[in-house]
Amino acid sequence: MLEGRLESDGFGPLARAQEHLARRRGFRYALLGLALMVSLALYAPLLASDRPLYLEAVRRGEYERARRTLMPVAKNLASLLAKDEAAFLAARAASSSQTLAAARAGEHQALSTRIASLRASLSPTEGEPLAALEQELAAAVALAERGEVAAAAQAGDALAQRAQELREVLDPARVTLLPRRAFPAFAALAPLESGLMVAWLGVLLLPFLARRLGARRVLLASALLGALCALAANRGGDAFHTASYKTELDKLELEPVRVCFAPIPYGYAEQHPEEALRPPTWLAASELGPDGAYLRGGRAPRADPVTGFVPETRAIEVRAGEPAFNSPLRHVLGTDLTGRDLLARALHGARVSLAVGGLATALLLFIGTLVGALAGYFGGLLDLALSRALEVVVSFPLFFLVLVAVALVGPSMWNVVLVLGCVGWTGVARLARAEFQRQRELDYVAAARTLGFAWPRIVFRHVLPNALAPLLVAGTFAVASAILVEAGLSFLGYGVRVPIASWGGLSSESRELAHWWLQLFPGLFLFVTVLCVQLVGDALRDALDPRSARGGLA
Amino acid sequence: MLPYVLRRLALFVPTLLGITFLSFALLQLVPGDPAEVALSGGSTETAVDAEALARFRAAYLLDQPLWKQYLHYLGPFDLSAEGHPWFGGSGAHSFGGLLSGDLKHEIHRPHVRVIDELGRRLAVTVPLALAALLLGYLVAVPLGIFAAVRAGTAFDRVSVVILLVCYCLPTFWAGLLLQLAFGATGLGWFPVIGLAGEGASFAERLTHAVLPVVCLSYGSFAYLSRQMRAGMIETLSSDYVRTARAKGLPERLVVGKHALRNALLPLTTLFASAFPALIGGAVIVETIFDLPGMGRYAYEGLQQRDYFVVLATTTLGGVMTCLGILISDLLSAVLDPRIRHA
Repeated sequence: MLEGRLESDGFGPLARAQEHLARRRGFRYALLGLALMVSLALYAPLLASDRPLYLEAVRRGEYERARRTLMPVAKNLASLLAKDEAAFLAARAASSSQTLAAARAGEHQALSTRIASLRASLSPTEGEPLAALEQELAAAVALAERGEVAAAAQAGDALAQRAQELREVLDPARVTLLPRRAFPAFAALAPLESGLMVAWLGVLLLPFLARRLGARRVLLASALLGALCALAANRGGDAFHTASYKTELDKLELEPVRVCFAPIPYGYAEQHPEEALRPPTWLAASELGPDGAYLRGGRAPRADPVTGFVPETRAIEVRAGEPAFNSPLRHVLGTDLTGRDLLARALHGARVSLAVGGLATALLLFIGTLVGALAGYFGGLLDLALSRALEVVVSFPLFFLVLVAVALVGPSMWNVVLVLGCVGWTGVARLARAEFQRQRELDYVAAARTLGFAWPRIVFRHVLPNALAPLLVAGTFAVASAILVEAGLSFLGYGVRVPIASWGGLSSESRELAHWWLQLFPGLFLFVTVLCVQLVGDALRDALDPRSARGGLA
Repeated sequence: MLPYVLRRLALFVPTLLGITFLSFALLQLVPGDPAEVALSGGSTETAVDAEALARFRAAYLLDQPLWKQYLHYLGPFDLSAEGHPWFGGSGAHSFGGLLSGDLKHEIHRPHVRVIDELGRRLAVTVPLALAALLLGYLVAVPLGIFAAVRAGTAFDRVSVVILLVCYCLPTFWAGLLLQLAFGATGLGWFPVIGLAGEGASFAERLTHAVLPVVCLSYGSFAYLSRQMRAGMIETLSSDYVRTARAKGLPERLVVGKHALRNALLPLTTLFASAFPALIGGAVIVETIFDLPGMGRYAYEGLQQRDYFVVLATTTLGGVMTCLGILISDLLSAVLDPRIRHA
């Protein structure tokens, strides 16, 4: 995000470098590539998902389930309404510790949900009896809460009776079911995710808006908008809650009127076991017969020379929204061990790589700057101690140390971030130390000291902004190196775990050279990303700090 | 010179201690009871014999305070019940720990001493790393100089792009691509996994080593070459080079004698950065090419939860890198008087 901001902003020490950067073509392309990668990563749940982006459908399955269970639930509630506390305690199983009130509330809730989901599929006129039922329900429960058991029991019986009648009245053959609209892929987003997606739009529009509105204003507005979106996300709205939209669409439990799937209609963890390890589908070698057997090349099923056993194949299951089984677009990059689409996984893998790169760098910049600033500004014993600590950490090969630490702590994305941040700060700390040592001899620091400013104010408000440029460059290189380390860890099986995708993990799924697509494509994404970050870093270094030729982690 | 060397060596000792301490501290990160995890190999299903557990804890002082465990690991005195009489032991096994060269035995193969196995593994890793380093210094450095002298020409531009690409290639991906391109699926020039067996000819050994060495070296190769080019360009634009040109020296002398000497200085510092990268890269390269080296040993130790293997390889990795840094510091002090008088 930082890189995106640099292009057209004009504050701090970056202003001087702007002209240099504007002239550099490689920098622009790299920035563009990086923006593309971040966009792919951020919008991956909308680009590749097994949920439709937009769905207008009759929810026949849900309606039927609600209709069938309406009466039993009402009966349960009626029997609970007829009991007083003592009878309930006597009747309940010894293991259950539920109170009567809780049991009633549970049944009440269950009945209300059913009524609501039935009403949602009916026109207001046809839903009239349901509204009446809802009122009766409220009245009966209110009676029970007041302790009028006899009256409540009566009302409960009436309720059950009514539910029994409604079951016939609401038969789908007699009423017309209305289609409902939903945005399942959007509804599945976490609040933070949707907020970031909106905010990133502002960053993407920056080059076009910055001249007219000012970069700072655009960024501020997009950040605000993103925060608003994050707060408003997933409040209310009519979401279809089903485990698998594709299955329900196939079984016509969802009767589609209009449905729009994501460009890549696969979830990152969606499996197609009968298509395991299928080569990219635009290749002739990937062509399948209707029985699921490869037609050409070395992949055609052959009988075992000794046993005569012919490996069994299964017909390909083409689910709702997916391209036909021999379409070149079916699995553009092939599939992995359990038939998950590699392209969908690679897009989701970008999230892990970029998140680890960004977060780990933020952490190591923080630690490194703090250590370097203290050592450089104060010198003396503190410097000696911190420098020894630094030398100890430098003495371990970075990748090796991170591997051991992550493997011992337990592999997960957050642990990778934490360990990388706690181990990779040495390069930044060295730079910061040298810079602070140089700056503290300058007049303005002496002036600040004479004015009686406390050291935190001098160090962080006065010196730090002046020492920022080389740290920023080192930070950019650290992003590249963090991404590489994470990929290496995942390749060795100590990064993020399946089913979460990561570029390194995808490459290691099969070591067989015959499955070349698994080894080629995820690495390509990784390589392009690292190349872009590196080019941006090179350009920044030349622009901000022309003298230094070093940077990044070893 | 001598004061500088002494000062540097004096600083080296606390760093070494710090390395052993950090390696030891790493093991404390393991959640749960290390003894149980180690004996069960990390799986929860395996039942662990209580008696074996107690013996294991006693032998490695796992029920003692941490500082005692650390001293026991550091040596040279064995602090266990059979340890040195000074510390209340029986004296049967007085010395032990790192300083006496005792790295314990592997947990899952109790007859194998870690230090012996480490020697066997180093015999694979060190030649590979040296070959990679040699390739780096003998080819990358001249390439960098040549590109700097010809800065701006087509040769320079092409080499800059290629080196940048090499610099950004992920190690594991490069290894996989090398296997795809040169293994049986591609050109079929080189074997892609393992080492040549016993009694293989020199040529066979060489063909087995080509891909791993290339995979191990391209990163430091690109790094060295890029740094060399940048350093040389900086030197060539300095005042004294201009003076040399102004007084009419032939270009050959200006570059080969005046500029080169100063541009070569950073090479010693670069050694300190290239060396750890080689050791770190060894883990991935040895895993991909299935070589029984030190990196693989560490990886296997992690997989089997063999803490003594992990501890030994981590410490060794740290000590080797630290030695590399020390050597490069001393070398630059020898070559550059400004450093030793700073």
